[in-house]
Amino acid sequence: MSKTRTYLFTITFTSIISLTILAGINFRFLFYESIFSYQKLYRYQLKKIQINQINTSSEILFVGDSSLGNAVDANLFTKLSHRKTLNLALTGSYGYAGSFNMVRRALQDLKIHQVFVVHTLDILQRPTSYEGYLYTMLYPNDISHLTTGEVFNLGNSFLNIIFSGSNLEKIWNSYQSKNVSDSIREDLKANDYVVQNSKKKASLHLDPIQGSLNKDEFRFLVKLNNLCKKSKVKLIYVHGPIAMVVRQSSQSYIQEVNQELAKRGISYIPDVIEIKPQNLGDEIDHVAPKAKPIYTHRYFQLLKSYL
Amino acid sequence: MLFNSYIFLFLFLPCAASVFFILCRTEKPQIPLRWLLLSSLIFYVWSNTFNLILVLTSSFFNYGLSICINDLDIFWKNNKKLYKKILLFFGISINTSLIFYYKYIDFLIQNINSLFNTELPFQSHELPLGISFFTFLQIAYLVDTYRDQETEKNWFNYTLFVTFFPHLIAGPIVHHRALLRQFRDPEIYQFQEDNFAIGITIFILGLSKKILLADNLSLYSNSVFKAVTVGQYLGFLDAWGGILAYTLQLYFDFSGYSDMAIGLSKIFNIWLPENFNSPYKSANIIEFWRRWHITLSNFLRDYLYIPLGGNRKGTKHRYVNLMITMLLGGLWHGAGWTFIIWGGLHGCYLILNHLWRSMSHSYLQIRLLVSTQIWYVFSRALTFFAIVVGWVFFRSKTLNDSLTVLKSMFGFQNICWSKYILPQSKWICSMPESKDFMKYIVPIEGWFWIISLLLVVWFAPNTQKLTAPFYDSKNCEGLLSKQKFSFSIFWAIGISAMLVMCIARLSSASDFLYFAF
Repeated sequence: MSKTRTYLFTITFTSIISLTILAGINFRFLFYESIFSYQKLYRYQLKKIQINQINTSSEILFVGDSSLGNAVDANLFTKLSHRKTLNLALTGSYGYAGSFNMVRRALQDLKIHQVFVVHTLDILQRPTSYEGYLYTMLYPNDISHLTTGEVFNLGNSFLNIIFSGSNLEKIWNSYQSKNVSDSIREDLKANDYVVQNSKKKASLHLDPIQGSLNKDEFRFLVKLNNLCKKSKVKLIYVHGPIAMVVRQSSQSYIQEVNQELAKRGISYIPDVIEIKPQNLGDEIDHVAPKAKPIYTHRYFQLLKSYL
Repeated sequence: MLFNSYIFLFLFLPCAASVFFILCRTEKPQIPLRWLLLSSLIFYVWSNTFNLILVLTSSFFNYGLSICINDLDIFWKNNKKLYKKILLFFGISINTSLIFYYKYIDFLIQNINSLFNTELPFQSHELPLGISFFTFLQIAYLVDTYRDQETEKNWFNYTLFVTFFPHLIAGPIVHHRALLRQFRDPEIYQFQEDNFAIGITIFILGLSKKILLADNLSLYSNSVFKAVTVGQYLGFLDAWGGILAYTLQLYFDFSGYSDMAIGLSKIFNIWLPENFNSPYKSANIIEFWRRWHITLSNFLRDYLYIPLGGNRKGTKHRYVNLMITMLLGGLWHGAGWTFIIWGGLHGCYLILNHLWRSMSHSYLQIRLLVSTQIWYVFSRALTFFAIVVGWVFFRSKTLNDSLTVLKSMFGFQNICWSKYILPQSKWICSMPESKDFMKYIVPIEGWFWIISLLLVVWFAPNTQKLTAPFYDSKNCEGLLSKQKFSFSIFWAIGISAMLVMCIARLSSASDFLYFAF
């Protein structure tokens, strides 16, 4: 073999081997194992669907992100509304796509009458949640719910995930702290959601939410809306709670989001519940654990006329 | 489609190259050329279908016009030169109008609104990718056609020259003669291992410059300039850290893109000209413009500076022509006063440099001074300093922002120089009230990157020198001159490692800076 061919062969061979190892590690730990808290949360929520399938039907379903998970206690909401309520909140990184897949699974296995989708205000300033769709896919044919362009973008996201070098460090750190990960399971059972970081408190000096909306993200919310219509289930979009000072200074942003929701025929509640400084948790959209019952009551008051 | 994307690396490039060489076996050159054209159009349409319509229309228009200019005898027998001039003027006007419409109309509206207190609405057109580049290519082609140089009769070849995907979006601005002649060379239709291997190598080196170096540096430069835009305090160290990071980022980003374009062309046995030749090693501004964005400098020289008169009409005219060329060169980079100021600044630098040169010819003492090693080191430092100051305007969004950065760079923000000169003159210092000024925007690891890469751009060989024909030792320069590139296992593993690191960071890669131009 000539020197040039050896050179080209060496580049090809070492690159393929290195990339295969990288992809293999990422694929194993990000799709199969549950070493991150958000993965444990997702499996916990999935299990809830199975448990409720065996026991009773759930009339009211909440889906969304951590702003919902920290604000609404499903058991308390059940008592207030006299209707069985299930809270399948994930995290913000799953986006509307994650909520779409959770509702799709819930509708397959449970008798749902009403769905409330609750997401934090700045969800529309994040990238379109193809990663969220990937992480919440159970079967390969879950891509049948997507258009060709969306499948292409999903494929691109998949490559981003499995070839990402930055995931290796996160995987290593999480794998090292296995004892901590066991306690996450216990916390989920006790709290019905991931426990907040008690050492962290959201800053009180907060900027308003502003800037352009990622309108592409609405594609999954529209799919969710159409899915509910087809299943004759009522869907209402509700804004997640946000720190008082942010809500007051972000009125034009909130208005813009509401206009986009209306444009797409999605039923929504225009009000945004504000979190007072004494009730603020570890993020600007997280209710402190001690205030969760208060905000469950507040959400009940907000939603009772829609039940 | 971007060079630094999965679809390009894993699908487009392997398909384009393998089908090209399979079609070369048909021994009919037009077939693989048509495939290259189709691939280039697919590459361009990936971003936006409208962009494709625009580039094809532009190509068809300019091709048709060049035929009319060249074959004017068919239409008019009298006043041929006058009609040729009219057609050329018409062609240049249409081409420049196209750039003006997409790139400068909002700048004009903004200035009219400011000057006359009107409220004309902005057009807010999305800038078609590569418009500045493919329009300049075709203007050069029309001018050369007017000058009775050979024209391309085949529309497919002409369109391929315009849309050839390695150079379509951000150059190099290749001369039509250089590219069209190669399409007729039978040697390019044979798979050549060495060209393929060198092409892949140069491409990966360019990709590494962009993803591993430029994108890392952008974290520091963007933080500093964002801080300036929001009115945050900017200290002396942060100002220098930010602008040095940007100086390096711009070089690695753009030269990385050029390397990728050159490497990709090499895979197809096509040669593209060098676009960067270690510009930060320049000992004067004249040398800098022979090393930075070489193809643009050549274009501005051949199609703007020389037609204006160049240096043929005396010294004063020469300086005026230089200034006009640099102002328009600045404006080409962006629709904003900061770009014009940057161009004007470089125009001043060039004039001063020419003045100095003429003085050094006239006075023996100066000639002796400039021949010393100390002077060489000083002139390199001074040139680099002047370039960095210019980049402040180039990068800043507004004139106010550039002045803020410059004030911080020269210590008028938190270093009270005045107290050492006139203790009473406290008014020169503007110490911040907040304690936050002690938190640096550019951290220690940022300075590690900046200093290391400054040493690289000042002393290491560039990509072209490194991968120069490895049997030609004269072409390699710098500290690594003994470490010549070769097709060895050592280099293969190194290049492979760079490729894997680039792919591992593709998800966080940003757009190329010159896409905005």
